Amino acid sequence: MSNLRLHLLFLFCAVLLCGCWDMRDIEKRANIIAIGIDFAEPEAMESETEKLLQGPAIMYRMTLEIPKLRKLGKEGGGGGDDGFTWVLSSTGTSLGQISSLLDHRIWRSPFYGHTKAVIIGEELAREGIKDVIDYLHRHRDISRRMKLLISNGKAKDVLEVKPAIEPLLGVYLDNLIEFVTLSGRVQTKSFGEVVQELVETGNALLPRVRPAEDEAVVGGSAVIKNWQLVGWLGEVETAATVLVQNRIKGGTVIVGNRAEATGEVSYFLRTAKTSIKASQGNGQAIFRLDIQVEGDIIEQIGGGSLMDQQLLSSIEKMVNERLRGLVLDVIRKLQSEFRVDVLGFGRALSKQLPEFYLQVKDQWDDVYFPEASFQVTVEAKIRRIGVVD
Amino acid sequence: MIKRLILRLFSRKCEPIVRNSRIGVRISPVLAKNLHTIKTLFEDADDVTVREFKVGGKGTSAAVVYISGMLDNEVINAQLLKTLMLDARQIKQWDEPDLLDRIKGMITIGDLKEIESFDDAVYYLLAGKAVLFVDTVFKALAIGAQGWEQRGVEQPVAEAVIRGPRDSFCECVTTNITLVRQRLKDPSLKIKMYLLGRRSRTAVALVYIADIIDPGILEEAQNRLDKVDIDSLTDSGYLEQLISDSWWSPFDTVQATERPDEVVGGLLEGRFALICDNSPFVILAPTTINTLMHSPEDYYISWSASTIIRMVRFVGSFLALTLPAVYIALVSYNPEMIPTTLALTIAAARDGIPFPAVTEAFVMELMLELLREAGIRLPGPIGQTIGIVGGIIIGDAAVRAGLVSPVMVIIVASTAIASFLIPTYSLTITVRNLRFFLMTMAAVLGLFGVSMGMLVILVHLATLKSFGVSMLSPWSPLRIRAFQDTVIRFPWLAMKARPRYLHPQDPDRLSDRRTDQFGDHP
Repeated sequence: MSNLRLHLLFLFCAVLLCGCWDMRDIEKRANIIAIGIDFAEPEAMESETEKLLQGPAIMYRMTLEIPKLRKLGKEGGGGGDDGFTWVLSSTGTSLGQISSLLDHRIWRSPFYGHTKAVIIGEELAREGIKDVIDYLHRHRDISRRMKLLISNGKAKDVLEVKPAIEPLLGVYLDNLIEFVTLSGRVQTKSFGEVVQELVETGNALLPRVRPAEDEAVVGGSAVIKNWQLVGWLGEVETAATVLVQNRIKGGTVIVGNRAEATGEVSYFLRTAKTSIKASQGNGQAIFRLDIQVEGDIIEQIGGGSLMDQQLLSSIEKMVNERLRGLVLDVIRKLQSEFRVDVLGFGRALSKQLPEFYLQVKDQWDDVYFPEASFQVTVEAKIRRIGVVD
Repeated sequence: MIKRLILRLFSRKCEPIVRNSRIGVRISPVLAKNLHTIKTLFEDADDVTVREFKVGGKGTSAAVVYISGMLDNEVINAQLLKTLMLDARQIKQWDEPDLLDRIKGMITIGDLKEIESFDDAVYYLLAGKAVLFVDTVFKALAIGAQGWEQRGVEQPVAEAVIRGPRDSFCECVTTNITLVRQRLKDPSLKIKMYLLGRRSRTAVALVYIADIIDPGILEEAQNRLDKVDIDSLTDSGYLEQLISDSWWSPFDTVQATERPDEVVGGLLEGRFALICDNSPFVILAPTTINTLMHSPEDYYISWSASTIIRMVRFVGSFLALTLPAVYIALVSYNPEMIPTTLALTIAAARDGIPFPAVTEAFVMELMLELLREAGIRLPGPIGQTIGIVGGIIIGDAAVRAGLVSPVMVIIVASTAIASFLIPTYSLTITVRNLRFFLMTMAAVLGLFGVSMGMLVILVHLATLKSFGVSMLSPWSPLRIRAFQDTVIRFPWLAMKARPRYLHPQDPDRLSDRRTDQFGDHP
């Protein structure tokens, strides 16, 4: 047998012997759309499991959302009030273990390729999310584009919400974060970006979610310091952080009051560009934030004609002041209350003043960031005033 | 290796066959001897008619031999027999040396040939001419009065267009040559006749424009025609496969068309055509994948419309090639590649289907092939009914019974429709075969298999040549200027040059004279 034939034979063997190994039809996989991760309740510790443990261990509760294919497929949405999804929950000492234990509850193999959102419970987040993130990031199926959220309370409660407008909670949360353009009050980073940030600094801002009757309310953010939840930022504060991060896609600022010449004006921000300039003085970092904003006036209550150029520039000034105040407030809160840099000032410093950053980087969050001084200038422009005079 | 194996399995060494029909004698001056030879040769061939008579009623003996049914009886009776039997009475001297010339002078038929060898006589006889033997003369006359029943020029069936001429080739080689000649009144249009097939002696016309075609391509064509040695060329399909560059490739390296305008377009680009007697399909070569994807209509409608139609066509044929394979790969191996809502919709539709996606796809494709093949065989009106019954009723019933998923029906149906966007039938068949190859690859290796399969096809195409021209021209080897006529079609005013990859001797189609401004007249 010639050399070539032998090679070809091996090639065919390689294809035919290993082929089909991961073939599994789409309906034979349990598509897990959303995951909630909490600490297990103390009573969930079963004696059988306890025996297996070598000493004290953490037990997790993993809650999964799996769509009911039969319901989704039928015309008219299937009816019935038990919803389109099945939410099941299980406990175990590791997430991987729970995932494999699901095998005997759903005969389909769990498939994480379509996981859209992972929600981590508050209690767990306060203890530290490093191990959870490690598991998720290690998993070969989980997409880097999914969203990671911290729940205000137990994650399981969020998973049990049946959103009125969308059959699947995971898709609902993912779309909420992906397409939020009008309010700007949500951190829009994907899992991949968050992991990158966490690995770099251990700090991050994650969107906050809390359960409500027919919806899961996403808004505000969780402040993660050194892989641990340390506190929350409100919705307006979050909008200011998004503005500083240069990721804002829209948002409304209300300035003035109806007694003044300008009236109460709603300024809708369309685009914004923030540039951060770092410098040093007296061993301290100094940041100059230059924020350029463009937007429209979408509402005016009371006040005079907007055809007046002076009136417009005074509105612009008020918007500048307002935005500047918001940004400075949130930075001060991060500096004094949480003492954590989640907005990437450290990174800006490392790029612009690498030598200085090398000196301060070990104590950046605890000492130097809280002492850094910030100068914020905002330059807002009004592009459209509408047709009504 | 596989090629060699197949060749070894299916071929055996054989001695070159001696042409058994050769007689190799000259025509004898003794009429009786000639007639005896004819009668022995055509023993038991009762349609060979021999009519003996005396020229001028009492002079030299002569005989007309012809095959009844292949001649126009009117012409034979009125122009030949009547002339020779009645009008020839004026001939007084029967021993003069130019007797044959005298006879020729009397026959009022245009197609007249003197022949000396008996083989020629037999050929002309079989080709439908009357052969006149005259006693004492060393030659015979072949008289063309063919007049058998044949189909006329009709509308093209396989390559219908909306805008463009409606005539198509028929089975007669001379009519077909005429259809080309009518469109090109150019003395450089050359038509070289070949007689191929030991038994069939089929007339094959090699047609080209002498001052456009690359002499290398022409020489190659002539070489390959000379090497054809088969007993019968029943259709141009035989010839196509005999002169093709690669017999084992799924791709055809020559193009068969039934449209004269397509042939003329090809000739003007620097290709050659082979018109084969008894076949309404004319072979055009060299060909490329690019030309196989073009329809003559593209050149008749405006360039912008044509470009968009071509884009649709290319996308459509790509879908016809890959859609079921990609579906199998995505559904069975890589569901994470589908957007979530679509994935869930597909999963919901597939829920409860008893077969895996692979089996489902192959079964549905098989059903489609059954329908297609049945549609060809069934007589016209019934064919349509079967199409409706098969396509709609069986498809719908299968979905309702939960045997196949509706998504699969959509995939298979759109693939079937898309495959008919390809204007050349041979490429349609090729795409169909390769679709099954890709489906198998997808079934074994998923998306990776599909991409590997596509790569194999691409590599194979890159090695494939048609009469020395790469099948992927002008994309590979890259010729940017020839892109004027690929997926996009430039306006005629901008398509000045013939495609360079065919190495035309006369490179330009349009002169440089400004022809782009007609509109400025007051």
